[in-house]
Order: sequence, then C-alpha cells, then structure tokens
Amino acid sequence: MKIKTPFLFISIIFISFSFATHAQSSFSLSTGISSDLNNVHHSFYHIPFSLQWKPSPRKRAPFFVELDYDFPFTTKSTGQAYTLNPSLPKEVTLQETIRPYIFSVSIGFRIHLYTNKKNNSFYLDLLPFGISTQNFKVNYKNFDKENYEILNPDINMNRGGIVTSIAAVYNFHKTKQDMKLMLHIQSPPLRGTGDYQLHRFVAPLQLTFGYNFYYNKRK
Amino acid sequence: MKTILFKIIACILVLYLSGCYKRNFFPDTDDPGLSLLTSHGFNIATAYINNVPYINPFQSNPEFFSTGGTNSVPTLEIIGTGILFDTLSLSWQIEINDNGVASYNSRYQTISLLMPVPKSFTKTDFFSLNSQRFSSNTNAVVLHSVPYYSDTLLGTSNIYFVNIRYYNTSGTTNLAFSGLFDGNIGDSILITKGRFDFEIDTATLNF
Repeated sequence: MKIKTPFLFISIIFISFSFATHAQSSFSLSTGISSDLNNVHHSFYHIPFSLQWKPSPRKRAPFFVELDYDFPFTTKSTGQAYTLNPSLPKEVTLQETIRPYIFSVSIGFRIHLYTNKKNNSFYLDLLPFGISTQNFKVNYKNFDKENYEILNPDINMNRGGIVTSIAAVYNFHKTKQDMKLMLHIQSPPLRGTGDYQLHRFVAPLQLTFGYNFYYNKRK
Repeated sequence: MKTILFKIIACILVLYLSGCYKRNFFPDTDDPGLSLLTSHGFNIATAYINNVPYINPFQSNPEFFSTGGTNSVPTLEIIGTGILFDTLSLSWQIEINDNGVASYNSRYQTISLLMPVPKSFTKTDFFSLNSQRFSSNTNAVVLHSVPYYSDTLLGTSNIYFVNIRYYNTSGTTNLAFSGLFDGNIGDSILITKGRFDFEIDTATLNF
C-alpha cells in the first residue's frame, strides 16, 4: 500500500501536466490577506501570492495547478532565559520575533456552481493533494548566548508535508479579463511525530483578489 | 520537471521515514552536541565535560521488531549523611553524545548533583526549590569514571531548578523538573552548559 502512494501521486502529476500539450486557456494571479487558523495564541498573518494555471479550456477538464507563496508579517512574542552565572540576573525576558514563510504546490479541479446573467460565476476549487514547506525564522533580540539558556525556545525550522485545501471563488466577468475573489483554506502539513516545535504548523485562511489571464482561447 | 519529481519523491520519503521512532534529543545549534533547555519531561540531560558533549543513554525496547525506547531516567533520592543535614542526590548515567547516538568511548559513566537538605525534607520542600539558583559553595558534583567505577571525582557545582511541577496522570503522580548545572572538579574537569529535563514517578522517591 505504501509503495502505491508515490506512483499514484506521480501519475496524477503527469496527467495534469499532459494538458499543456493542448491549446491551453488561462492562468490567474491573486493576492490579499491571510490568517492562521491553527495557532490560537500566536496567530500568524501573511500576504499571500497565488498563481493558478488551468491548462485546459474545456469545462470537462477542469484540472489546474496552483502555487502559493505566503509572505509573513512579523509576529512578536517573549521568551524566558536563565543563567547560572551569579553575577547576572538569574532570569531575563527576551523579545522574540517569528516569521513563518509558506510555499505550496497543489493540484486540483474546479466544480462550477452558478453563473448569473452577467456571466459572473461562482465555483469551488478542490485541491486534494499538495506539498507545502513552512520555514519558521525565529530571532531573540539581545540574546546573550554565552551566559543564558532559553527555556523551551522556538527554533528555526523548515519542514514540508502533504496538504489539502479548498477555495470558494467568485469570478467577475469583464470584457477584457475576468477578476476573481477567492476564499482559500489550506490544511497544515501532515507530518509524523517526534519533532520539536512549540508552534503548530500554519493553516492559512486566505482572502485574495486577482485577475484571470486567458491565452490560446479555444474557438 | 526532474527537480519537481525529485522534490515530490524526497518529500514522500521523508514522510515515510518520519514514522520511525526518534529519541528525545533536540539539538541546540548554539551548543553543538547539547539538547535545548526544555521543561516537557523529555528525560533528556546534556552537558559538556571538558568541552566534550555528554548525554543520558537511550534504552531500546528489548523486543526484536520494536523500534521504540526511552531515554534513561535519573535517580532522585535522599541520602542520610549527617546529624543535622541529609543530601539530596540527583544522578543519572552519561555517555559521550555522538549526534544523539551513544559513544562507547565515554570517560565518565554517571554524574550526581548533591545538595544539603534538612532531615525533614519532603516532596513539598522539593517543589519549593522551583526557580531557585544555588551557588557552588553549598552544592557538590560527583563523576564516576570508568574503568574504576568505584572511584569518585568530587567537585563543586552550581544548580538552578528552572521549573518544577507535579501532576497526575493515569493514576500516578509524576514529578517533572528541569534546570541548569555546571561543575568544577579540581580545576582540571570542567562541566559546563549542563541542562536537564526529567519526569519521574513520585512513587520512586524515598522522601
């Protein structure tokens, strides 16, 4: 069963990319604001950039590839540090900054739900399989490494894992190019146990606005 | 395309391997060979002895197919040593830490931190040591060296109990405590950057 999983995934990738051999239709760019749903005490906020490539213009081939990069706002926290040196205060509070960078690659398909008279449409993007890396950059301001030890420190961490996501998309039809409003939720990466981390992985909830760009439209 | 496939396969491989058991050792990048100072009851203790990193051993499960195991736990006990005071002894096995794996060339076998305490010392008194730092003019450190295990190397020690807490879990009361320590044995053996994070069953205590 374990052996089948990589082959299945690779097959899906090949099938998705194989649409590029057809005259293909669109890609879209969007950006906005993102909030973390997985960390309650230290929620992380990002500016997400999303690139979506839909190779096939056909409605019966609604597969697409999506790249997401979430640029983080700095989250501030504190840490406690301790020393054995009797000439120094035995405990100090340190200012901490955390910046989690997130990059994801997903494949998915589109389910059309509704189109109105103005040709505006509403649809669901389902992305059942993706790979995401989350790179946490941690810094403690004025930390005296020689004399103090931080208790339960956050540490720099770069981890990847499998993710899944879903998005509700409203498409504004315009003459030259469509605009879209997207609400996108992504799961935290699936990983095994045994790693040291104080923060959970980020589960971004993104609200983005962007444009669709069409090329090689099918006649 | 090859790069994408390579990353995909690498990620899947990492996910598969992450299912294997890992011991509780969380490398401190500022102090190579030592684990971070934690207070989660990881049963991990590391220190430099003359700049060589030492760690408490990992004990594998005896079952043939098992990949599990635990870090060895310390002994926390009261030793009757005098009329007015007894000695609180915290001791554990040590060995050279070779990237989380034990080395068989360890010069020292056990380390003990010793503190004088009143004869009426109780668990409540131990809890009162929380956030207390004790200087080297009251405490001692003992190293047992190999091959002459009975030989003891005695010196002075600073000890800082950073965090002590009791809690109940599945019918037993556990004691979790973490802290810092260092030591000096005759100015020839220096123990530096020591940190411990232990959790033990209070039923094993003799006070």
